[in-house]
Amino acid sequence: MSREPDRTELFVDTAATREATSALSATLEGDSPGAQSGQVIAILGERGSGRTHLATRLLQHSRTLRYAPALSKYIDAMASDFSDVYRRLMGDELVFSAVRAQADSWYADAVADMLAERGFDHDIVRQLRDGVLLPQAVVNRLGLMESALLRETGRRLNAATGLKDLSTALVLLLRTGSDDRTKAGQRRGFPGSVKEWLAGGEPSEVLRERGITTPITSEVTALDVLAATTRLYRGRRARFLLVFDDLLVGADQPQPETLLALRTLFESVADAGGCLVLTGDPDLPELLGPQLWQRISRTVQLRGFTDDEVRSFLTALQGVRTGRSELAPFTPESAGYLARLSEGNPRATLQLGNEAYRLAGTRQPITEDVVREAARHQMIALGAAEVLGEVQQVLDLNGWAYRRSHLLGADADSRADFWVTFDDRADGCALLLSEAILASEDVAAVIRRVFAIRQAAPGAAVILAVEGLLDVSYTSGLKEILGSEPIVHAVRGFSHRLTTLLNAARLRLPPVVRDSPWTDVGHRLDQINQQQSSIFGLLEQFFDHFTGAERRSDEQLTQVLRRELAGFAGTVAPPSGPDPRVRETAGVPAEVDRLFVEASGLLEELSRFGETMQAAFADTVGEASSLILRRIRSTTHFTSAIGYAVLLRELVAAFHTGIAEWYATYPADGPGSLSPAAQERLDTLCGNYAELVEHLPAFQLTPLIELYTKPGRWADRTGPRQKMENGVVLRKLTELSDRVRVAVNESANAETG
Amino acid sequence: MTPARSGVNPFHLSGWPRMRPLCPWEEPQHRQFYVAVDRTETAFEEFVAEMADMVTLLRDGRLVLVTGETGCGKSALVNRCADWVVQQMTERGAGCEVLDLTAALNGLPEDSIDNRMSAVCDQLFVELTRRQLMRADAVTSLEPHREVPRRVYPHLPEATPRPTVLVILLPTCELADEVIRYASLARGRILFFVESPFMQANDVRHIVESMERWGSPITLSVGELEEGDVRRFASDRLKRHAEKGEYPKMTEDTMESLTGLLTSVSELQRVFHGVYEELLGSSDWPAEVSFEDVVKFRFRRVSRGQGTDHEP
Repeated sequence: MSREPDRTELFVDTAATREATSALSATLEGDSPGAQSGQVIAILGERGSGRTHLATRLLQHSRTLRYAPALSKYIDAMASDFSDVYRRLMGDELVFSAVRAQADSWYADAVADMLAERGFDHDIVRQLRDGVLLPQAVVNRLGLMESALLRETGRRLNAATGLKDLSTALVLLLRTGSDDRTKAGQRRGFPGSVKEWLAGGEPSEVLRERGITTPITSEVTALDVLAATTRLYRGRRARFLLVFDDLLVGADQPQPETLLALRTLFESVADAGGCLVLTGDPDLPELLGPQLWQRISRTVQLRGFTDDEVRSFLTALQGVRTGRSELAPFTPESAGYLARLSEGNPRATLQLGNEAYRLAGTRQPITEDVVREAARHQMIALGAAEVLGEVQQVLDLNGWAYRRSHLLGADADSRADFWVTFDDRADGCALLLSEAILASEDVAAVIRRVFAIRQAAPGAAVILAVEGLLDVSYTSGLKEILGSEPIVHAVRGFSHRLTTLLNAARLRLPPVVRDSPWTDVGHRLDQINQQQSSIFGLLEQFFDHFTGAERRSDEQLTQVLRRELAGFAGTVAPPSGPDPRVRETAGVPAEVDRLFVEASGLLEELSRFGETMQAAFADTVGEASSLILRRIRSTTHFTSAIGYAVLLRELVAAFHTGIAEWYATYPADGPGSLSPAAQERLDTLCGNYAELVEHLPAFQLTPLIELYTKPGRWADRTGPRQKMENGVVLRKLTELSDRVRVAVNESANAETG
Repeated sequence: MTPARSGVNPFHLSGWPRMRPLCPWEEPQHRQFYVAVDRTETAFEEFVAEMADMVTLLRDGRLVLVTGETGCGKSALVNRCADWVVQQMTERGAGCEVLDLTAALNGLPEDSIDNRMSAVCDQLFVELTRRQLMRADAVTSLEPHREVPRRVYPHLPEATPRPTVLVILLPTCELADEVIRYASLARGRILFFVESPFMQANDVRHIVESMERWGSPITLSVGELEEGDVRRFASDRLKRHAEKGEYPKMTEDTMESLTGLLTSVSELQRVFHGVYEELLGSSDWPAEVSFEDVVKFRFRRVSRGQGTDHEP
């Protein structure tokens, strides 16, 4: 159920608000109720321009009029279709009561007409028409022919509404005793059935038996019933005011048949002397089309505050805050600067103004610097939750799968705020959210993130959404890096542009080949192979260079190798100590940590070929090094194994990081087993590792293990080594996730104990 | 202070609720209170003619549908017809019982046909058991199905201790389908009476056409008050009580002036009973009831909200 927003404590009278208020008064006020034709009023403006504020202001104003509307209702129509708007309107208890009261008035008229025709009971007739007497009471107390009167009322309602189902349902509400006496646990009776059906529910058995078989679910049906309901007010004393706020904002273009039904609604509202207020974006006329737009009797354009109005607004704001209506502590200059930043947008003006007050504290006056600081703080903070919601809404509406805050690589910068995947595409799209981009440091931070993501997921698309303000001088540079312009949330049409960009990104991504259930995995492996090829290519280059070259300094070569490999791993691996790929592991129990250290240690050992190379260079004769290198090059799958070792190290490190973050997210807050959420996340992490390690088969390491363990070969040359058995290594890597899961749970149970 | 004169309300039937329809099968003296208004006399004659020698009732069972607007005397007509059947069967030495289930749905009137019929069937079972109108073995075999009409009604003719005509007065129906379903459940020696203020001529036609294969129901209709009905009704009640005490008289002119203004016998009874009750309550009631007395009474009744009258 929608709620009327209460944002009326601060109000600046503008030409637009005066125009809207005046139009409403002209419709609802007058000496001869029913004579004035109704209106459909459109209030157009950018987001934050005060549409909702004005809409609720109109509702309040209507209640102060001499002929206050019998029915007034506000519906937040954002991202809703008309059937949803209808359901929320008619599902409201007060709206149902108002409709029922209107049906009662038709019944009262039928009873009054019958009595008047007889030529006596004049006082009863008058009181019935004035609504002083209830028709049911009169029928009951005088013993009038209820059946005939109900039939006559039904005939009239049918003629007025033009909808047989609606008139049939309304008559069921009129019967003597057909009231809300249905107690809890009893069957719901006619009122309950009618209310449920009117609110979009399935017609109950009692309604179906009376010919009402169609639920009000489609947009067209909903609009038809709504239009028919408004016709209950035609030529009557009672008026109504309906406000559909943010109409078609974030919604699809209506279908032609929906527009036709809307047209009927507009006409019915006008005929009935009611008032329908629609607020929306400036493109609402385009969405409704010119023919329908002609039926809008009044359009009110909300533009940004002028500088004077901003000053008035800040003065009023100060009045609300302190009771003193004055511009200070703002100066005319800072107020002007605030107006430029907010572009006169009332919501932005209010937010910036409040934030400037907060930041200024006791510092007086509020300078331009404070306003700038406020802009950075407040626009971001207020935008963040909103933009998250809008992004999620876009993704949900399009049915695209996504993960929030998804780490694509080991680097923290490779985190996508949304990692969006598509059923028909083999790769995904990283959606980055950025706070305001007002300085070069902001741009640098974005570039770091884009590069980290490109490195971690070379085939992924990247889209940047800016939550706050974007300095336009950076736009073209960001476009070159991203491939598309960043989208700014504060600018209208964010959802639409995001949808467009995501669709475009989707089309650029490689399609899924549908002939294998493992195609996604296959594509991922292709990427891994690409990375491996690069590593192998580098190694080949190095070896070729070495074979044909004069001996060089060991140290030099080692450094070169390390530097080159570090380029792939994203970091320079030190010979010992904690794995730098793994971020903070504080809070991870020792037993759990040990499993990771053990697994990464094995892989570290297997891939320490830099040190091996050093041994080769230590051979002053040169025969040893040549022998090693020949063996290396002749050993089947050796280079491939090196690549697998590197990737498995990355995988273990990422898993380790994931578990560390898990401990940070779900800290043990006392004895007890894991919460369902914690357990679910743990299962996901372990499942991801198990799935990935399955496609990075550890047996590919066998050539390295064999080489490592064979006596007299490189194992002998490189000093003491840990025990390395093929089966043990493989198990420790392939079963790592199971061991981790058990260790985590045991650790939790130990805390319990 | 002058003591209040005691008067007699000529529109009050001693020992009977003021708005309850006449019921001769329960109160035999009511037979003489029927007045030929609202086309009820004609309808009764039609019923008698349709029933004829009772052969169809005894062989196939029957359903009688009475239609007419609220307050036009449908219930009183049904009671009169039921009473006539009881008399006929008694004269023939056969058993006949009236089972009044018209209040079986009180509190649950707005329900589906299935639920309504189940509730009525259950109430019927209660009545038959309470009045020992079923053999013990029938009670045992029907008890599990007491809410399932198609498992109960067809077995009733054989369930009574001796051959007995069961006159079953059903609650008001507004849907033709419900009437058709009851009609299809009739069996020899079962006579259903059902009344409806909401059914129109086309509904009745639909019911008759639907039942052609099983034997058409008897359909009766009552209407609004016709020319002379107000005078006929008022005169009857005033004359009937002439010997029993004093009360204000009502002139022919007053009666005539109300013709066309009061449209049903229920409205007539309610107004006249109320006006006399009000007048007789004062210490110096007038010699005559005037048109103005009627109008004022109605307005006071509505505006003061003197209780709520629900017809049984």
